[in-house]
Amino acid sequence: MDAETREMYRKTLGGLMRRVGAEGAGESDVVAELRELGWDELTVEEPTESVALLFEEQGAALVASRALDMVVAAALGLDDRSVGIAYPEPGPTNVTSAINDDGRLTIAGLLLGASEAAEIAVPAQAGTGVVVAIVSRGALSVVEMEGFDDAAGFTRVTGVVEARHYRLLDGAAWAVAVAAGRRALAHELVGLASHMIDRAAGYVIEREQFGRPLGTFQAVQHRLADAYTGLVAARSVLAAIEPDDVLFGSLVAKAVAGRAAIRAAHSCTQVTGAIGCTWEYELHRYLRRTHALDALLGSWRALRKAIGQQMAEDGHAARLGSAPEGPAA
Amino acid sequence: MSTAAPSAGRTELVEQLDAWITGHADLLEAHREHDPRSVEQTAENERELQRLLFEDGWTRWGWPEDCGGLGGDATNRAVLYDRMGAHGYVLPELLGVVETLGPMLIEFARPIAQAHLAALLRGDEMWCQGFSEPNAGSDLASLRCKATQDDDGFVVNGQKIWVSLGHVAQWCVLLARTGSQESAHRGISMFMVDMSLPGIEVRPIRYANGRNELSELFFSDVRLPPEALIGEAGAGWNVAMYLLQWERGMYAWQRQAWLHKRLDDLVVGLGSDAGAQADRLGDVYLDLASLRATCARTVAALARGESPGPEISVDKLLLGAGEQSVIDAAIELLDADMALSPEAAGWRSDYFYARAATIYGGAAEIQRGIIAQRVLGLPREVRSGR
Ligand SMILES: Cc1cc2nc3c(=O)[nH]c(=O)nc-3n(C[C@H](O)[C@H](O)[C@H](O)COP(=O)(O)OP(=O)(O)OC[C@H]3O[C@@H](n4cnc5c(N)ncnc54)[C@H](O)[C@@H]3O)c2cc1C
Repeated sequence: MDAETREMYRKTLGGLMRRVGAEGAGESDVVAELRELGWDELTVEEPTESVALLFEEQGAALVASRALDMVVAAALGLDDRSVGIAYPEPGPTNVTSAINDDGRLTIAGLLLGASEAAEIAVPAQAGTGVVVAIVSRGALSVVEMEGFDDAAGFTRVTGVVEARHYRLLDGAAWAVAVAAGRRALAHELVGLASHMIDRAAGYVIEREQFGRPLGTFQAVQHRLADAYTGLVAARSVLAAIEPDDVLFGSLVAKAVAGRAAIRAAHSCTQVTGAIGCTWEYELHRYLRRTHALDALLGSWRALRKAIGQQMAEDGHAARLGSAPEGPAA
Repeated sequence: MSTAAPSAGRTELVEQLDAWITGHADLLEAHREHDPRSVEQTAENERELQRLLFEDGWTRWGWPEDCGGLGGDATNRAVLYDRMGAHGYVLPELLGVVETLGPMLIEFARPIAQAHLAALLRGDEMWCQGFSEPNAGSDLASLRCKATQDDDGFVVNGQKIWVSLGHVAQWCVLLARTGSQESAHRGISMFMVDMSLPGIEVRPIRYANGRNELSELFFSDVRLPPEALIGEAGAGWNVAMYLLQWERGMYAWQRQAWLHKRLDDLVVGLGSDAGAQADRLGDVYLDLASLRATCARTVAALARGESPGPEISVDKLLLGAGEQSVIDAAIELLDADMALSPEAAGWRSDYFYARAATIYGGAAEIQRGIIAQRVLGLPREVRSGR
């Protein structure tokens, strides 16, 4: 994608996201609008860049949508991309649903959005592997929950489904879907961090203490510079993911992005003082979203452990991405 | 002799290089660590490695043919640095100097590059970089070492300090004042100085790790020919800024290759305890992956002839963070071995050098100021240095 086209898409997607963000949750169907804009064709032509643009803009505008479902469903090879996904609950295990010996499917997971989807894809442990089962939305019951970010639109669901009431998705690779999801989430975390840093920079340029803008103080400058450095690192790692190494690359990218976004959120809160800690100021909503998205598909802490364990097992560290390509390549 | 041409595809290049490295395992075995005791000994040992890499063409890739290279661009060099680290070998320390000074000479003083680059690559010559002074560290633009122009060229008087490899180098790339002191960064010029000229005195400085990493240089009435000038007179600051891009981008890329190797060493050193340290190892990995991915993009941009601008300070910060992350983790996790075992001499030496990763080439605090002011647009109150 050339720079001009990218800017055009960024404007369109950013405009959409800002409008949806201003309208408030539940007012518009982001996925439907994207479809109308030609999203499906775009993802065929530009599979990585389209996701990067969409999720960065979604993060920056603090929009909660089912766009992630769309990405994960596509990675699962589902033709019907309106299928919902029962994401594993945050925690040390990779999946939180399971198929028991008697064939019954026990579901514990999180949905995005309340109930629009008629069918839900459920990754489930089956023996030593993970399968993906399709169940009807009606088979799930909603569990009361309270989390960091109610506005993220997570719905916690459980259910027990008899073998005859679900079907297994042929050839679906949950690991591949997780990689696609992690990558999208990493971009969204980058969007969140980028917005927080811009806002905090704007704030410290305006606000004066001791007769000068806060932004002239080194302690303030350095915190924001570090936050920005983390942001650049997250973007670089995302750009370094190679087609033949997406599983590991996406895992590292989400860890780097999650860590960077949380650190950025803390620095931005610090430099905006008491205002930054109020309900009215938007920062806490970004902070909440940052934690919510970090928790989905593996928090940065869980992923870092996985990386370390892999390293211990292999006896050496993997190199992420290959050496840079020259202009001739 | 290598058969690969720099125009060969990336995959072929890596394959051929890997085959070469594997095929020379016996010769390379001596190069798994820099000599932790002595810079002079390291330079001596690594000269052999440099010659070998040059003779077989590997360090000639990515440099222009009129300067002794085999053509191609900087990313060809990046492949070599990366694969050496991946196979567990060090890069000759001099290759760090090549990446800092070489591109600058090619850009601003082609005849000098044509005359010297191959000799440096082959290990026949060593160069150093004389920028810092006792009173001009972070505030480099306040440097005082003077180069006075006359009919025969320039006469240099003054002092330089913290010059890496200064006492073993035959050539010094020198930053000196050709304008008035008040002209600050506008009155500075860059020179290529023959260290055997009369009037130059060199004193090694013993670094905290016990090696003579650094030197002090004294210049009294040193006569330089007009051809010693690199770039235009008075344009030395721009030349230095150009050079710093390579020091922050490509040198950081070299370093990441070596730091990943160091992380491999740490994992091996921990043996069956590695699993218990998964969190810490994972943390280090995130730091190194950040460094690697970021300087890979920078090197690609440099190879395309782009100028990353103030953004490149990010690479420098990530280098400092990554280097301290892996070395500090080793010092902590290897514990008693670190304090007492002779095998850990390399780690101890690295530990002291890692302290400097946030100092040399522009201290971390200065980089943060550059990012805050020139990238994020925060107001400037104090002039920012290098
Ligand atoms: C291992 C090593 C190798 C080196 N090799 C070379 C070489 O080959 N050639 C060469 O010319 N030089 C070399 N140097 C010197 C290096 O470039 C300088 O050390 C560096 O620029 C910092 O200068 P300084 O040491 O005088 O520290 P100072 O400038 O005195 O700074 C000391 C501390 O104060 C902080 N500080 C300074 N100014 C500010 C400010 N405005 N705001 C906030 N904090 C500030 C710095 O960040 C630093 O932490 C080397 C140094 C080391 C350690």
